[in-house]
Amino acid sequence: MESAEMDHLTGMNLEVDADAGRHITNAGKWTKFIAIFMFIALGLGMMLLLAGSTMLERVLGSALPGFGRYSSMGTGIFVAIIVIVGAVFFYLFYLLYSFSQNAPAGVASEDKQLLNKGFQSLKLYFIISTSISILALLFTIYSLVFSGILR
Amino acid sequence: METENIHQHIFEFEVNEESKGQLQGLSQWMQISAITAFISLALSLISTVYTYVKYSAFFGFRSAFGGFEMIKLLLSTVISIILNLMLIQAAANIKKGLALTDQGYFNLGLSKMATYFKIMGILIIVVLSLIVVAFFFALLMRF
Repeated sequence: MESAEMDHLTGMNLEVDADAGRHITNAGKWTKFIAIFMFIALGLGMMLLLAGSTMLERVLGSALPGFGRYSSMGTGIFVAIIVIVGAVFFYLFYLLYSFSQNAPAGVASEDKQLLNKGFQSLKLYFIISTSISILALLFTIYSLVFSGILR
Repeated sequence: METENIHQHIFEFEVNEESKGQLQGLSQWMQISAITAFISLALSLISTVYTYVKYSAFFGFRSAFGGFEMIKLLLSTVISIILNLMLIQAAANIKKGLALTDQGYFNLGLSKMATYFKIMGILIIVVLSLIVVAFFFALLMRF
């Protein structure tokens, strides 16, 4: 009797059933692939930009006589911006990687804490990526207004 | 029989209040992300059409906005629409599943979310393949 009542109550709630588990595991596989690819692309991109900044400093130093005095400050700011932007994007893709590790593991071991940690990471990933998109969107609107397209 | 029961028990546990909270937040942000992407897409289309109208008057259609550019624009627009529609559907179904306690909607939402990431992954593979092909072509052209 008690067992039947429990079954009824369980039926009233959402479950991570076989289907849901399969979808979460699938999402985990693809997010892991995306995150690892992005880590590599981000690393390569940052290396190229940092190498580019040193080259730019050298080119500007030889072209502009007075540049040498300010070059280290300019390069320093450029490197700092690259590092900060790189760190934000690294954290963004780390969140995706964290989802890919925690959510499927939570499903496999029926561990709600792990599953929740996975969903929390994915939520944060969407919060940060959407905030970056909104900033880019505002910049686009500004440039469209400035160039006279949206006037 | 017993094995079957054990197998059924795997992947079957209740979504608790904390999970519901996380999923509600997740679906809300997925929706905001898709809406932002749609607005960005509309603005970039307006900007491209404006540039086309402005420059085609001077240089003619072919030079200002060649066929390749047109294909690129159409392809990126279609991919963006498909991706963000998938994200909106995922968010809407997960939300509905949570609000109505409906397992069908909930699973459909998770399935759409998995498809969204799958499309993104496949796009990365396609872009990577194109880069490799372009690299080899560039090498062949040099020798």
